[in-house]
Amino acid sequence: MNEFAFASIKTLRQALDAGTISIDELLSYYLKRFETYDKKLGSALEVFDKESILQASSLKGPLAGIPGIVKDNICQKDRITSCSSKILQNYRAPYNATVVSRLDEAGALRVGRANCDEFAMGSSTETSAYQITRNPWDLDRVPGGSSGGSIVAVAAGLVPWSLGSETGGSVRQPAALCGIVGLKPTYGLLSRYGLVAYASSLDQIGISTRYVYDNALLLSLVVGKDPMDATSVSVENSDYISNLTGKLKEGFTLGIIDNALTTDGFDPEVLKKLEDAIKHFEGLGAKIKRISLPIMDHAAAVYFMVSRAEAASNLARFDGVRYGYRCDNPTSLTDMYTRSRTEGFGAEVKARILVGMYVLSAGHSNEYYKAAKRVQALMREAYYEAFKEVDLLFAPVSPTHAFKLGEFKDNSLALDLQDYFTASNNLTGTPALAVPCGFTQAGLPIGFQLIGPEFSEAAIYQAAYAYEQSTEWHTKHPDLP
Amino acid sequence: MIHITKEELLKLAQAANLSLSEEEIPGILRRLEAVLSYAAYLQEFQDTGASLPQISNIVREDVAKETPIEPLLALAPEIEEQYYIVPAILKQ
Repeated sequence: MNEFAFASIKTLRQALDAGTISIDELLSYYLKRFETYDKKLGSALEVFDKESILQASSLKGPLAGIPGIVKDNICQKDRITSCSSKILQNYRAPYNATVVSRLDEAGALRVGRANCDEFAMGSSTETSAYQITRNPWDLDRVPGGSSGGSIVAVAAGLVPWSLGSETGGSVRQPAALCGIVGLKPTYGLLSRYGLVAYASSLDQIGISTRYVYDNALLLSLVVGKDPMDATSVSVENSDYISNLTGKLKEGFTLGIIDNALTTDGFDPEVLKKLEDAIKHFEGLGAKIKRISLPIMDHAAAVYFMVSRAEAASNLARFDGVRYGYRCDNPTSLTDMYTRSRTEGFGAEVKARILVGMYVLSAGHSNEYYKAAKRVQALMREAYYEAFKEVDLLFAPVSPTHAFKLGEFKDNSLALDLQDYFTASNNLTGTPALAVPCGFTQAGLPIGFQLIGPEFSEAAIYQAAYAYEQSTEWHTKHPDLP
Repeated sequence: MIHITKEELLKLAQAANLSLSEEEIPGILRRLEAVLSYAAYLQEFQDTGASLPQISNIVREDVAKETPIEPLLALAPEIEEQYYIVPAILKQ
């Protein structure tokens, strides 16, 4: 049985189709793994009972019987969707997110809801109101965030796929820190219907898997226009698989964002592995072109302004009237709003709302919010120009490996800067994929990301797959306690 | 370094319907000042001629759709028939 723990979706599909194992047996096996390992890891806020898991799925299609887990800010009908926040602790989603419905139709099994930073605000999964999640490679370290629970469940072999969400790097950064593959799709490629909004112009649902092929397969089953999300787009070609030949495209040019690699404060071990990965691409036949995109150095600052502004606006809806937490014995309407929000939100969420209120306030919106939006436009142009010269761009995901739990508790800015290399893609709508590329001497995973122009996911997967299949990193898995 | 006064912070909190305890104010002030100081240099881009991102509206037909309200009402902390109950807005 243990050969299934870290098996690919492709292998599981073959085993299920051949009758080597039944859907029921496979599900029981993974549920048992949660029971055995998740007390220590803390990836799931809830694991559902077997019967209701099976009932929710069509059990037919390419993912028939393949279990996965969904971040707690994505609606699963009749399940709690708390966003790891006290303010939604009893909120049962009255509908499915569109991406969830599409996975159900494809036969996938949703086994639970994954822990995350409260309202997806954080880079370590430590701001959850309920529990911390630990990195399976070193239990004293964070998994990254905000989709930490989703990433850990996959990295630890508790499920082969998960959904997370991305606003500034919340799938890619934990994927890199836990040694798995994580996609931030092009803005609009996936419907956001049923994803609880943090910063609507940046938010996208992301996919994490242990293997590139599995990621491409999942994406092909969930993309496309949804009448419930006006920003979603229809795609002509949703085939992300046939490009996966193990070879790079003829004449493939990989651009290296050189200024990213010379950023101050880079961990030397991480840098070394990134340089090794570039050499590996060269060995695969890629033409390497080092370019400078200095405008991307402003990504974190721009991201802080835009995301906090939108968060302040989006989170105004939590007022204790229609759903969610309401304080006891309110004396007036204002008292009810204020105490419900004050008691319901955690410290991180409050701080981000207040930053958003500040940068949108009269007298400050020009110097902060509007200035940030101008730089955002320059970033879009810079990527557009860069992709005239190169097929894809190579960049770091995080400047560090996984850090200790609590390491940044007195330095919130340093923790926020985990988004430094990832936020530019959310700000420009471009897709990016985090791919594992080795380990530190202490055995902590490192990843790079491949960035492409809008709707270039097929090209990104092709290059990532060629890298993966010619390296051994995807064959390494954590020894669980 | 950007400086925010306690009064400014309390005004923002009031506008956001949040109340802050005396103990948490210094920490939140430090956080806000740190992130705003980090991003303050962006104002240099105000006068560079860079334009705001182009956006366009997406429109659809305004079609009424029948949706059962019971599941939504069931989520409310307090209802009476099909109304949400909140504390009195007007004084008696």
